[in-house]
Amino acid sequence: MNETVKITNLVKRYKDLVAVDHLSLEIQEGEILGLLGPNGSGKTTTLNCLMALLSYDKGEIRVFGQPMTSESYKQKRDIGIVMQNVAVFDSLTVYQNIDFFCGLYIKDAKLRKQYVEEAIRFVELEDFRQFYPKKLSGGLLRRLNIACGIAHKPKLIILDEPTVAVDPQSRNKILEGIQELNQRGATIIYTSHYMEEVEQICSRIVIMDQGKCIASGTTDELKLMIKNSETIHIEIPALTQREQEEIRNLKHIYFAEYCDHTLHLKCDGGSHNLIHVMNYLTEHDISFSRVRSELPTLNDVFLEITGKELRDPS
Amino acid sequence: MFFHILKYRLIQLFHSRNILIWIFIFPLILGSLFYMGFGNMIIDNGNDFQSIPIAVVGQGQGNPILDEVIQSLSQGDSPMFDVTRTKEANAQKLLQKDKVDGILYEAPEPYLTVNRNDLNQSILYSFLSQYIQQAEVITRIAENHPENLEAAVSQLRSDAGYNKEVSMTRSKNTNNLTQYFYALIAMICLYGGQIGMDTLITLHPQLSSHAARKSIAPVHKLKMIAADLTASVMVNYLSVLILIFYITQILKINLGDRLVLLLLASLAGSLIGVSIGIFFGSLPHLESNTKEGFLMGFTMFCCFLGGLIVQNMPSIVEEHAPVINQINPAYLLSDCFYVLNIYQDTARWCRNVISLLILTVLFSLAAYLLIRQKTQGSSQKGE
Repeated sequence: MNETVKITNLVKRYKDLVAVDHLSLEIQEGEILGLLGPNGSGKTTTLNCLMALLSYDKGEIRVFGQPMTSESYKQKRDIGIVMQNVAVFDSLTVYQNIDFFCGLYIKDAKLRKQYVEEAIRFVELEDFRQFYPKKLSGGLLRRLNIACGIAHKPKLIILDEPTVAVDPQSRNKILEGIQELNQRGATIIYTSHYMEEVEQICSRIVIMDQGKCIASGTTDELKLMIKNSETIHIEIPALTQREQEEIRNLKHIYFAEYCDHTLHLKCDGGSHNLIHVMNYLTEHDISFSRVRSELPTLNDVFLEITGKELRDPS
Repeated sequence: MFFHILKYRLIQLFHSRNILIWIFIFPLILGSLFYMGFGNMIIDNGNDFQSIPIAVVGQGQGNPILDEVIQSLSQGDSPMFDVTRTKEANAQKLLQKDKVDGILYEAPEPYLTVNRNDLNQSILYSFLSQYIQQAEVITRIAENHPENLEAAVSQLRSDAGYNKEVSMTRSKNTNNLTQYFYALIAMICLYGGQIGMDTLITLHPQLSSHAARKSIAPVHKLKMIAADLTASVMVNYLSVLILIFYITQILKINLGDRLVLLLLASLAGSLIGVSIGIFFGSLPHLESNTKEGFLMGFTMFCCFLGGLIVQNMPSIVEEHAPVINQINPAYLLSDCFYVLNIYQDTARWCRNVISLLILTVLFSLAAYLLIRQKTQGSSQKGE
């Protein structure tokens, strides 16, 4: 498989702030790469450097095997961008917006018309082609935003939080669309704060913090990186301190807390943890009602890796 | 590609309500208000030139040659001067009461006193300058080549007639109040700043998402900028053309007979207007509303100093801080239009147009440097 993007040792500073700190990253052809990170982690700066919108202090960025600069028109021809903010013109209709952006890539008027129509069908905006953006709902606007970024059929598509403030139906439609674009051969870089989206569509995930890549892998690989492998909740009417202590000492249980008649347990690996706990409760004749076991989510992975303190861009 | 970008930029500009109102409709309303306010004082009725009332005061030994010239210019069917010969004290009173436009002192070294700087005063000044220049020539000839004196005096006489003819030709269609309309055209040229600022926002990736999306397209930046700025100047210039058409064809106000030079000056005006907008748009650390406010304030202040609100303001500025007139685009523009109807010679018009073009380059250069500084990325936060 070819490398679509290769970032080597990238450094970008804003005066004293190091926004991207010796970041190296490779994106293979056909991947959907999820780029995650808290606010101010350097995701957008990395993408801006990748698209040659920002100069950088150190490192190298190669796209389709060639160095990427603001004059790399050959590479730019095959890149599509869907911005975090809706980047369409209010004074142009849906059709005109897509035609304008597509026209920056495709000179042939006939071919462009065909591409624009295909993009309109792809995002299902056929009934809105003469509408101005102000007349569109949030979901339709986001779909128009995507159409403007992909109408020219790019091989690399960068989607920067494309589903912000979108209802579940539109979000689902957008995610399906992204997967379809990937199936057609596009390599995709996807950033989002919605972990379930990333978990659903991304083949690989990179977590950034303070300008560095702090974790990388598939969802399952990332889940193995964290201590918590299983969380168990059991409703128990009564439990003594001694029984709590004994449960805490069971194998693979590293956290136990009893409050509001519910026992919360966290396990660090191992298998059949729930059965071991149930056996203990039965042997000691402790009555219990509802039992719930949860495997870690990407959100747990993210919070454990990046920490739970609030972040603000600095 | 250039025409694709140009086409869509034009569509965008023509769809902008702000631009339609402020660039196209507002000037027509303001022009109509001027027209209604001034009534028929300003309408060009094709009448002949009105004689300039002047007071002539003899001083010392007097100046017989000048006296003869003034006499010749105050006779005939359409005399250039309406002369009142009087003492100095009375002449001053007449000047204070605006009964005369100037006092001409017939001294061996004649001089002029005016209390305003309008069209008639400009004519008086031109007349006296020309006289002094030619009298000096005659004196030199008398001293060095007395044999040619008769021919020279004859030439002077014919020049006096020419002077009268030229002055009337350039001014007969001009009314002092027309200057308000010149200032209005200048203001609309400067309103191109709004378009310039809007264009910059759609061009600079640090200022808008649209611009970022455009920046990553495989189009040479210069082509993109050229297309967008061409559209901006075209729209602004169109609004100026419509305004000139409205003033001359609908309101029937005569802006003179040098239409080509008027239109060329207007084009320079559109260029400076758009470049000012680009400059204000590139100011760092300011919200776009604040930038718009600064731009509007700057434009109106320039127009105020240029005489849009108080007709006599340029004279006041000229008296106290003449350098401001040299760099005020509104003044330079309205002066461009104004001098076309006063002077046969286009030197001052050329000087004004060149000043405007220099200012255009300076504003554009300043904007470029500010944008370049911003692109290096000192303000964007890393997310």
